Amino acid sequence: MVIVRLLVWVVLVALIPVRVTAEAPNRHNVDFSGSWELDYQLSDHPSEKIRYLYIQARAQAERAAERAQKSGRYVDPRIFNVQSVVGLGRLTEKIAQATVLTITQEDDHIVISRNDDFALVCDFGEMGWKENAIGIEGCAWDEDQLAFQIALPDGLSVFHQFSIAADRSRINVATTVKVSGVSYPFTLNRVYMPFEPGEGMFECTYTIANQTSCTLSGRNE
Amino acid sequence: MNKLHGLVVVALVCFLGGCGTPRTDPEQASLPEPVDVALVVFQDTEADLARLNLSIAVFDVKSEIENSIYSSKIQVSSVERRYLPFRLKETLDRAGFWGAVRVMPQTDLNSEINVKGTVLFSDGVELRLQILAVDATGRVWLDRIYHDVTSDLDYSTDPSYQIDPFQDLYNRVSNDLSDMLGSYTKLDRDLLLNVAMLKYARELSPETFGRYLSEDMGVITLNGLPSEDDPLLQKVQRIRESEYLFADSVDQHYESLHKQIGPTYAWWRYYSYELIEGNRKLTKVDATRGATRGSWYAMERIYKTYKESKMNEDALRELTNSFDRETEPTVAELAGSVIRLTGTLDRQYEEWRRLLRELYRNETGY
Repeated sequence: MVIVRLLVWVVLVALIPVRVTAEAPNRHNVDFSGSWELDYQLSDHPSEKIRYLYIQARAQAERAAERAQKSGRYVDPRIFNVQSVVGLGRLTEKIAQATVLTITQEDDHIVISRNDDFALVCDFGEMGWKENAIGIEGCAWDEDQLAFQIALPDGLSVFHQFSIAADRSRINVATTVKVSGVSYPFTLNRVYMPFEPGEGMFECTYTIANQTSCTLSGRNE
Repeated sequence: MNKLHGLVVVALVCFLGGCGTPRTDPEQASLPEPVDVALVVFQDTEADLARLNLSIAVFDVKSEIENSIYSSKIQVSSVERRYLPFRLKETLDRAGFWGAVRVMPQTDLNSEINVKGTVLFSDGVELRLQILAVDATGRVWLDRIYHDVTSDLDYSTDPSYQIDPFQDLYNRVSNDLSDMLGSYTKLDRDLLLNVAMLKYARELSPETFGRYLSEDMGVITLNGLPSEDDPLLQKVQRIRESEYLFADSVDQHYESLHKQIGPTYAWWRYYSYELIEGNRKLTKVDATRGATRGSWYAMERIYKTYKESKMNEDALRELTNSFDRETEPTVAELAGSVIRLTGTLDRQYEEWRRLLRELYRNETGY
């Protein structure tokens, strides 16, 4: 049982692109903190990227099939698995769906809250792999970029790489999804720009006993 | 090859080391079944025996996650170390075997029995406490790990801080203490009362009262007793009375803390239980949830399952942070001065003891 579990781990970890290296915590003093909203203009448009990659993959497959035909070999067109570009692209789109990031960063940790999604959390003091209820996950500094990796069952792995412009005008989040059996990963670049969260009419406080309670102009509503 | 070797090492280290999940209980997989324990209560047949006072020092916390971002759990721990002793005090009060049962910031010199505890593990699903009870002579009454686990039944209704899902654990501690007390004769109890009083007197004036007690490897022996009309002893007794009043005030602070944070803590424990159990169930389900393996639909299901588990973790983190916000230190008035209940109560207690010693010296010249 122990050996089986160990093998599962080895396979899961091996499926992740090893692009990060262990480094001293935040030695470039990068600060991602703040409120960020999606810059649609600079971000990849999933459908366009999927269409582009689909056309590219199909052309590549056709060329390969043509070459094979000329050399008298039969090639099963299914090996090019062009349809998987669409599947992988749609999955990546769902994973990178966040339009607002609220980032709090301290010397020892960062919490990246994403709307309608779970927060990406990195403890700079404990940047190893961590076992989750479903898979394993880890974070690491890659020079001045912060990377999050998630390895899930059935060879599904997700990689988020955060980088910030020197003038703090934009954050780029490159989300790469890889699936075993599909030779090419799919990457979506989502660019976020800073914004000041407006003061709404309601001031809401979360408490355990009362859940979320809101007041209007300082009065209980 | 080196890369592969590295991966194997990483995987092995993670596998053996557990790779630090939010719930780090090493005995998680082998939790025993919860056992119902009835509280043994005092019977009138022992009414003629002297009642001993018992003090419970705020618990220590064994934390393995101090450097983690999950340190919001530390905030919960800082409340638990003050809250859980009060649950034990309430149980001991209900059992009815004791004189005054008080929660104190530290070991109480004035008390015949002192109970110390360490929170080894607490997460709403499981509670593990190390309990040490020592009498005034230094004899160990209890030195045991107590452990209880909850079930769905314990959380079947909305949580109330007056009903503790770990009540069986407190009942067991109380029963063990009353068992031990039962083996003490009237003579044993009188000895404890005298030793406790002389320890207190010795603290105020070692020169005067030190000779009545001798100590060998933590065990105290009574060498003799001062005369009952000894004026110095009478002064000590007066100061000791005021110490009791101070101890009662301190105890009231723990009681009000208990009332104030009880509902919040009960909810925290309730949600913590739900979230941990929810994630535990997730580990047992097929992440694809019936979708054909390898299909894109299956991949989406896997990611959705993962996302659910992560959102559970987020909720737990938000809960513990919220717990911190809702249980900020209490500012209260005690003996004419304003104090903060967290941390500084210890110092206040030290200051109080220093003032008492000063008072004794001023009155007696010793």
